[in-house]
Amino acid sequence: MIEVEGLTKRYGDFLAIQDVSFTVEKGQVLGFLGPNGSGKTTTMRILTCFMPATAGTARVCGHDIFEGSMEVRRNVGYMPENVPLYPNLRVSEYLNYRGKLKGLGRAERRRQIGQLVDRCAIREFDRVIIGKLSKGMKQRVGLAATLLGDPPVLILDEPTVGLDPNQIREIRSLIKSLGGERTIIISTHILPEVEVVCDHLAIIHNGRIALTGALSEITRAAGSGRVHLEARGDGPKIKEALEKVTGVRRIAAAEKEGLAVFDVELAAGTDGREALAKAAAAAGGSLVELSCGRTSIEDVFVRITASEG
Amino acid sequence: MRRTTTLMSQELTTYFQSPLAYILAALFLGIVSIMVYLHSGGFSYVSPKDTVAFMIMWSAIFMVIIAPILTMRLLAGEKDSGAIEILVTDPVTDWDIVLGKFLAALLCLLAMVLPLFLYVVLFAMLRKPTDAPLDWGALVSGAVGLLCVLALSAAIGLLASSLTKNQVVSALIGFVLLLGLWLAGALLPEVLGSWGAQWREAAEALSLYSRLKSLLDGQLDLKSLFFYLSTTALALYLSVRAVESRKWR
Repeated sequence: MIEVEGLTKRYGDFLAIQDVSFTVEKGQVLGFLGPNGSGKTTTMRILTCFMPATAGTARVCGHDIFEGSMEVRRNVGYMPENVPLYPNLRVSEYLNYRGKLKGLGRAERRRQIGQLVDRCAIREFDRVIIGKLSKGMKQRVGLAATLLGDPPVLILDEPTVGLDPNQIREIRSLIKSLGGERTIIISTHILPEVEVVCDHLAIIHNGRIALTGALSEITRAAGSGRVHLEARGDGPKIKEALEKVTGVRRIAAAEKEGLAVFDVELAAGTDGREALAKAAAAAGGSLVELSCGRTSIEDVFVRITASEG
Repeated sequence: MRRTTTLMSQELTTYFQSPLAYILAALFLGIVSIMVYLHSGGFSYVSPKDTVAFMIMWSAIFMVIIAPILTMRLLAGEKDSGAIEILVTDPVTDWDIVLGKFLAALLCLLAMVLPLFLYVVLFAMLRKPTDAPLDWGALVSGAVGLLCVLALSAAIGLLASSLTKNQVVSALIGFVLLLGLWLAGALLPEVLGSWGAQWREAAEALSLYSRLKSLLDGQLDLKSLFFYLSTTALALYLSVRAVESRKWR
């Protein structure tokens, strides 16, 4: 759906992004992650045909972003950072205006706007002047306008920035409900957001893509898995059994309130939870707790963005 | 084309909702009315052709101030708020944007100027049999000339607005550009005239003042119209290039 190949953008002497490549398949929600000033907005502006790249190409829905600019713009709903709307218009007027710009006929506009005000929960604010809305409301109006014309691709630049926790939650669940049918790129530097909303991830750092892939694979590959295990029974005997499980690197054993407690370190990429549970049971231990200490996206992000400086 | 009218009507709505256009219109009509009143000796002595020419010429000159203020928001405001990013990533061409905004400004200026022509009706009614008759030809060509000046002023104002994201700076640039055009038209023939008659003629051909003057005299000549249309088109073209400049800056 979106293929980005070697995008480079230079502002004078300043290299904003360099050789950025990634692909997003149909229906995926890609979290585009990076510190402030790492090139997220620049990449998005290029993909939405706001400005061209210095080098490299990209195709959106099969259309080249330089040669098929109009087609790309018809297929992409773009919500820029801070969602600039026209504060003097009423919500319905604004949506109608954007619908016209996107070339929707009168009947089609009415139908889509009717659906979107429900979907984005702004029906009761239909007649309110945009300048009087709260930031969260404006964000929803912006999202509704972005969804007008039913674009198969959505590109959202920091859609939750500056919102309060409740509003963030609402916008996130709204975005999440859009996934599946649409292909979405959402930029952010709020890490938990990625885990909630996205299934794929691209981390950009100093204008270069540092990491890209499926969220589940990244977290799995990044962490040498740690498993915490508590059992009632013969401690040394259980430990002996656990050590025989494949993939186990090291076991730290301890005793706590009559329970045998183990911290098991597994080799990268393996998930030995089932085998560990079986081994413990076979050694006569009754399992009380088994938890998986997976590495969070935050760990991955910090490792990448802090090390290269 | 449909998108141009969409953009135009959106801008017109904004004009009619904000007090700026009304304040400008009130000031403009008030000042020109007083000037016309004084010029015609309190409507006691009416020489329609003379007074109409006076009215149109001063309306045109006031555009040096009015047009930049009216157009300053058009592109500078969009850039300042970031809404330009939404505008140019919707399926709209840069020409759609510039033309839509230009037409909105032109229509707004027209609406501002139009009430002045009530005076023409007044002159026709107050005319004594001994007065000179109303010269309809000169009136029409003068009105066309004013329309041309409005278009050029709106285009220059829009060009100024395309160059910056600060509305005050935009208004100042527009004011300086328009003032420069008028002054150059008035001064250059005098300065270059000392080099020879053909220089003087060339400078006059490019002068806003003498072009409008010839239209006010009732000469609806194509040269003058072409001069206004081409300079307006040039200003619009440069505005489009300025909107595009995000691409190669």
